Amino acid sequence: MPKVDIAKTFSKAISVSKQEVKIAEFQKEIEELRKKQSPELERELDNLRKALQEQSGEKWICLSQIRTNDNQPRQSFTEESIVSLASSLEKDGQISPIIVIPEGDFYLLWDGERRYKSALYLEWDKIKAVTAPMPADLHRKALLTFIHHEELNALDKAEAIVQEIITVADISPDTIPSGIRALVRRLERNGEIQKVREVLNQSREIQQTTISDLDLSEEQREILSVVLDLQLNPASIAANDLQMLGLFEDLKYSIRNKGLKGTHALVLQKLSSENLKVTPTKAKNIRTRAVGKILKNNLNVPKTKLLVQSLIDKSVGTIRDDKLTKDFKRLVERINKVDLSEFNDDQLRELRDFFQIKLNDLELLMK
Amino acid sequence: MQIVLGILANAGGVGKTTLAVHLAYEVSKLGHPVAILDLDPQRSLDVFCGLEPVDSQDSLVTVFSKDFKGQWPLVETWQGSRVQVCQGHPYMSSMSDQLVTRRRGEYALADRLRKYPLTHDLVIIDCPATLGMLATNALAASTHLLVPVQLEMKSAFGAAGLIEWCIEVSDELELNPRPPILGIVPCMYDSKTAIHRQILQQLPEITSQLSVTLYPRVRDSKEFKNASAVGLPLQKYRPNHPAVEDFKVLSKDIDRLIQDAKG
Ligand SMILES: Nc1ncnc2c1ncn2[C@@H]1O[C@H](COP(=O)(O)OP(=O)(O)O)[C@@H](O)[C@H]1O
Ligand SMILES: [Mg+2]
Repeated sequence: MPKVDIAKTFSKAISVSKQEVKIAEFQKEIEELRKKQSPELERELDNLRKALQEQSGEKWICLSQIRTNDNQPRQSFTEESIVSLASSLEKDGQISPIIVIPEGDFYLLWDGERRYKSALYLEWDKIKAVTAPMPADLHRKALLTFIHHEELNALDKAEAIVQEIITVADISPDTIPSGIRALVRRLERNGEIQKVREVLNQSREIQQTTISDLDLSEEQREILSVVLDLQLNPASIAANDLQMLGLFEDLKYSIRNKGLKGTHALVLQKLSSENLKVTPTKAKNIRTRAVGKILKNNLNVPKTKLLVQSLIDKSVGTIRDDKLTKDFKRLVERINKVDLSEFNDDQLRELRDFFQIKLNDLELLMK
Repeated sequence: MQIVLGILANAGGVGKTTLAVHLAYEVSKLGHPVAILDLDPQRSLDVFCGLEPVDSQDSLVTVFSKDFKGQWPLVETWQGSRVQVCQGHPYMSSMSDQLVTRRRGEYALADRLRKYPLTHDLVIIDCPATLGMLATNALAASTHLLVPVQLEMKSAFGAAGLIEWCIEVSDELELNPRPPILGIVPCMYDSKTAIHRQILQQLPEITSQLSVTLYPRVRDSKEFKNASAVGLPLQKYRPNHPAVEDFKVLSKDIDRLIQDAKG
C-alpha cells in the first residue's frame, strides 16, 4: 500500500494559524518599538496592517464605537497637526486604515490616534479600520515561535527567556542566572535532570505534576515551570544561553548588529583586559578588530580560538619586550654617563675586572 | 468563569458524541458538575445517556425560543453521576434556519448562556456534523474547542477544513479572544489498520505546526458500541476496560482549566 500523506491536507490550516502567530509577533514587536520610540515603528505598523488586511480585510467602523487605549503610552498631537491631517483626509480620503481590537460592542484603538482625532474633527461618522486580536492572549504562542526560531541569535534568546521569567515568576533580573544555575546543580545532585528532560514536550499538566514531585525551593519551582513551559531544558540554558548574558557589551553589539555568532562571541570573551594585560579600552579595540577579522574571513570556531590565543600571546609578549628595551636603554645611558676620572686606582681596577668578566659572558652568548 | 467546551467535527460518525459523553463522565468524577447540550437534530446523545426522547418544549429548542426565561430543561443521567443533559430535538434544524434571519442569530446560544448562566463547572456542547448555523452558535458560545478526528483521509480532511473554518468564523464574529482549540483527539484508533498508524504518525508534526495539543488517541473497541447500546459510558459499563484510560489526560487538562477559571 502506498504511504498516505496528510500534511498537504493541513497546509492551508497551518498557514492560517501561522498568519495568526505572525500577527501576534508584529503586535508584540510594535509594543516594544513604541516603548523605545524607535524609528522602525512605522515600517512594522505597515507590515501589520498588510497582514491584517490579508487576513480579514478592511471595514468601516463608527467613530462612536471607538475607545482610546489607556494602556498605551500617550501621544500628544498639536491642534495644528490634526487640522493639517484632517485637510488631507478630506482631500484624498483615508489611505491607511487604523488598527482596532474588538471588545464587546466597542473597539479599542490600537493604532491611528491622529487619524481618529482628525476624523472626529471632520465629524465623520465612520473610519476605515482593520481589526487585530488582543495581543496578550497570543503572547505564549508568539514567544514559543520566537524562542525556537532557528535563526534567532543566542543573545536574544537568552534575554527573552530571562524576560519571561521576570514577567511570569516575578523574580528580580539579577538573581535569575544564579537561580537557574542553582536549580540545575540541585537537579543534577538529586539525579533528576533526566526526569525533567522527559517532560519537555509534554502538556503543562504533566510538567506541573513532575515539578511538584521534585525537591526544590519555591523560586526554583517557579523558574523551572516557566522554562519547561517554553519547552526548554534548564541544563542547556545554564550551559549555553546564560553565558550570553555575561558577554562584553561590544560583543553583544556585534551579535545584534553585525551577525557575530554566539559561539564565536564566547571565545572572544577571553580577550579581556585581565588576560591581555592592557586597559579595558585597549582590550575593546582588540576585540573589535578580531570581530572584523572573523566576519570578513568567515572563521570557524577552532580558527577563532587560535586567533584569540595568538592575540593574547602577542599582547602579553609585547609587554615583556617593551619592558626589556626600556631597561636596556636606561642601562646603556647610565654606563655612558659614568665619568671614569672620578674613581681612584683601586676602583678603576675593580671595574676593569668586572667588565672583563661581563665581556667574556657577552662573547659566549653571541656565539 | 465556566468552561464551555464545543466539540466540533466537519464529519459525522467520527466520535463527537462518544467523546462528549465519556469526558462528561470523567470530569464529573473529578468532582465537577457537568452539563451536556445536544445541538444535534439527530439527538443521538439520548441513546448514549439512556434517555427517552422528549418533546421540543423540553429540549434545547426551548432555550432558543424567543420567550425563554432561564428554565433550562435539564435532566439527570447515569444515576448518581453529576452530569446533566439538555436533550436535543429534530426541530433544532428548523430553529437553525430561523436563526439565520434573527438579529444576533449567531450569538443566540452565547447570549442565552450569558443572560441565564448554567451553574455547572463545565458545559459540553455536542454539535451536528455540518458547519452551519448551529455549529456557528456553538463556536460563539465556547471558551474552548475540541476536535475529534478519525484516522481516515476523509476525517483528516474534515479536521483541516474545520480549523480554517474556526479561525475564519471567529474572525467574522469578532470573537475576542477566539476560542482556542484545546486539542485534537484521534478517535477509534485501530493499531492493526495501516492507514490509522500512518496518519497517527503524521499528526504530531501537523499539530505542532498548528500550535495545537495532540491528545492521546481513543482506541477502537466494540465495547463502546455495547456500552452505548445500554445507555452507559464505558467507565460505568466496564470500569476496568483499558480504553477507559484513553480519556484521562484530556480530563485532567480540563480539570486544570476549571481550576484556573475559578482562580
Ligand atoms: N473508539 C470507538 N471504538 C468503536 N466504536 C466507536 C468508538 N467511538 C465511537 N464509536 C462508534 O461509532 C459510531 C459513531 O460515533 P459517534 O460518537 O456517534 O460519532 P459522531 O457524534 O461524531 O457522529 C457510534 O456507533 C459509536 O458507538
Ligand atoms: Mg453525534
